[in-house]
Amino acid sequence: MSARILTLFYGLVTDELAWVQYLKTDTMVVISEDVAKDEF
Amino acid sequence: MLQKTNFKKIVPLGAPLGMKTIILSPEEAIEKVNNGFDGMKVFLIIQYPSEALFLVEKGAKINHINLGTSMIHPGDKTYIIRSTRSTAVPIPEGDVPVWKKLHELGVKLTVQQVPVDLSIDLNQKIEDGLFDK
Repeated sequence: MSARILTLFYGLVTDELAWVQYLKTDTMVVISEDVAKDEF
Repeated sequence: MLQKTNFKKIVPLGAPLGMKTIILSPEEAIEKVNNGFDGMKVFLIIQYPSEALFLVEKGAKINHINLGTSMIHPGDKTYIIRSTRSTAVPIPEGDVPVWKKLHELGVKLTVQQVPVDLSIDLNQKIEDGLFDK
């Protein structure tokens, strides 16, 4: 299992798209305590 | 003043078109990672290095982490990893203990913002004393 760390919410959607195409995957798993709890 | 926002709804909107998005807390992710997400091929994004370390220390089978970029903190010392002439990935000093610990735990660490960039061996950089300068 590999993981990629990047900063969410900082305009890096183009980076995500590049990785998605490269990895040929269709599921994105975001692991974040902040997002999971919605406590921003 | 910032309004409270439902990020669970916003994150999928930022995902590429057609991409299924799953949001998990680090605790929820441990079992999913170890069970291979039921055979799905997934793109795993972790927000903070500390959350990656939490997963590894709690037994999640993660043997390779690629750093795409980091959140920098104004005023803090920041290390810069260059993968091309035009691409540089920052590592704030506050994250250094986490990267060193992941290195000690034997996790393969690379720095690569996008697939066309060179993959930089962060383990080697740590061994070469990058963070000791």
